[in-house]
Amino acid sequence: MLESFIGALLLEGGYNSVLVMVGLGLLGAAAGPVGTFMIIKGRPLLADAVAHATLPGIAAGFLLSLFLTGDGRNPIYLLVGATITGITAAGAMHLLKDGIRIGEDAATAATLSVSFGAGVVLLSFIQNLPTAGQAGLNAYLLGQAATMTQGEAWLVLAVGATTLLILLLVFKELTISAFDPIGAEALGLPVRLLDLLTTALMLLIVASGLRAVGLVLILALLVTPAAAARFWTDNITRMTAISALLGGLGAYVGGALSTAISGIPTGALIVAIMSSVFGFSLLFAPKGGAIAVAMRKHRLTKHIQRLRVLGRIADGVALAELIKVARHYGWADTNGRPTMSGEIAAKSWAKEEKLRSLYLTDRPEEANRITLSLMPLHRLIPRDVLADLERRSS
Amino acid sequence: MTFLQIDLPAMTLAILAGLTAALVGNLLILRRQALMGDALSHMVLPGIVGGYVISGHPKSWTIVGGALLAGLLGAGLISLIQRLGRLDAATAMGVVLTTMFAAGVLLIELINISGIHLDIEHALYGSLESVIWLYPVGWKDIFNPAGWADLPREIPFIAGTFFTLATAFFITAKEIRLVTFDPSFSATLGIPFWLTELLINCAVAIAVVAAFDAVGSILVISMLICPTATARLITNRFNLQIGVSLFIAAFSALLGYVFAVWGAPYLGSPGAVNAAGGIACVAGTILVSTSILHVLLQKRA
Repeated sequence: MLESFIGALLLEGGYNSVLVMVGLGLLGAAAGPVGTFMIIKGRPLLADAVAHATLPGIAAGFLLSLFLTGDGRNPIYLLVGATITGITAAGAMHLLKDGIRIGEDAATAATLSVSFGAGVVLLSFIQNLPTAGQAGLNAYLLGQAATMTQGEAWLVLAVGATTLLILLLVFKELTISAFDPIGAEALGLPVRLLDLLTTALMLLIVASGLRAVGLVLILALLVTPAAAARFWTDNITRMTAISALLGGLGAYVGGALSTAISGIPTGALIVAIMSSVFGFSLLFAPKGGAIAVAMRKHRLTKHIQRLRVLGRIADGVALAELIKVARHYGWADTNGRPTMSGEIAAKSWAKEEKLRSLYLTDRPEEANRITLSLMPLHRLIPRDVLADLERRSS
Repeated sequence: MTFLQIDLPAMTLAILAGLTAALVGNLLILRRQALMGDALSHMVLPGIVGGYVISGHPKSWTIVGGALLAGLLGAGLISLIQRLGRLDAATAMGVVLTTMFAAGVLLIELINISGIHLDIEHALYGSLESVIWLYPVGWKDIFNPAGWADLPREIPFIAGTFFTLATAFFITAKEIRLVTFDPSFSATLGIPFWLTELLINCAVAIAVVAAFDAVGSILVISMLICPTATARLITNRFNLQIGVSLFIAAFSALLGYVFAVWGAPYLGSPGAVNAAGGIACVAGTILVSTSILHVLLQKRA
């Protein structure tokens, strides 16, 4: 199994599985940024409602294709059907949310489950028909990348490449209008159109990814890499790029895993990969990961304790509850009297403090950068400015 | 008499599932936590599968325990991720619910390898179609206690859940109103915020597990949300709203079942369609038509 997984990763699987994996990689890379935009706009679960709502469209597409061509499995019919009911659901949600006093949360949940119910009814109707191919429809629920036909694989690849291309072309515009719609408007960007484009891209990704990832879990393609990227950076452009990278890699590896382990729903495998990446980011990301944040908090607590000890020594006040801390640094003896090194440290702290306050009276706009930093002043400002401050303070 | 043996128990189960879900749904809608119902109904899946593996028995109490555990774990994870990642609740829910549902799916695949069978369709659509009560041959047999031991296990379980939850609701009605409409005031009375949150999450998880057998994990959301959302449009009074939502839930369950089993074949379907889906459709249709009516009436006023 491991061998075939590594083989699949290196694109040594069959022609179809290579198509599917590359397609999934492109689709995942497009889904990451789109997911980031959806989260920023406050609509992360719209994709979930739309995804569940594609089921009646898939079933209707199957019936129409069966009626017109004699075979229900034409992927284009299913894709078009999925898109139509997906759009309808988004519209219904809008109506429920804005037309009446149902909250957005209730509107989302109601749309999601009722449209899914309609799909289930149609699906059971199809299962009763004396025709072939209806068993394949179950693949749309949780995804079966291994059983995709060449046409279906090409469809994923084509849509993945197209959405990624569109994203690359208008990346800057989409990013600005998602993160700062008012600023974007001022720049003369068509904000509403870009908003619509984001939703359209989301819909396209969802509809084309259904066959491989499944409608129940495709939400993860959009939300999880975007959420994971949050832990790596605060910079908007970098965050969007990281989400594309994580989404593309996750979908690619998940697709490879699915060709290696046949019979297990692809959606579940992709989510397993994506969620592992998310969990790793949550814990270990150097910028916003839990461990990094905890360590930073610990360092800050220590720093503040040190400052309080030095302040008390400088003011000649009893150390009281801070004796232990002071002794840890060798700044006080067992009775709480300051040691020589404690006096020296306190003196240099007092000098530093004076320089800092002098600098901040000159440059109040620097307050955030200076006060939030744990570094000494000489590491934060140019040498000549520091020399000038020292001259004036003495 | 297939009606008594197949349709009657299925209808009873559907109605009880609807009542249980709608009862809890009142809390969710008023607290604007409808999405928590969505998330919980997905997140309990690994717990249900885990409980099933431990007992080897599809209707055991370990399943309820597992589901509760999974639901609470998921709720905890959501708030943890929210805090650590500075993410909004909906995003954190999206991540956790897909993760846990996928874990449940993978777990199902794993146990199917080991020989115990549980299928994903059951988790998605429920199993109204497979509920059978062999005992009654005539109408009189329904009231014969000797046959009750033969009832499909789902029915006593969900009936017990409904009456327990309803009693709890009735006894603590005042407190429920208080914590729902004024959480900060209730905090000053010594009802801590986390406790209400915990109790409500437990109640939702229990209702979801109980209704899970009947309608599956996704369609249970429609029974949680639609009847209460409709009732909210009809009345502003809390007690009346609960009553109306229960009525709509029972009515949707009944009508949905009748439509799926007898209506669809009458309309030309080659067989009955999925009853749980039919129930969700009826509940949704009632919600949408009430909304349209509501908007029209508001325009006239």
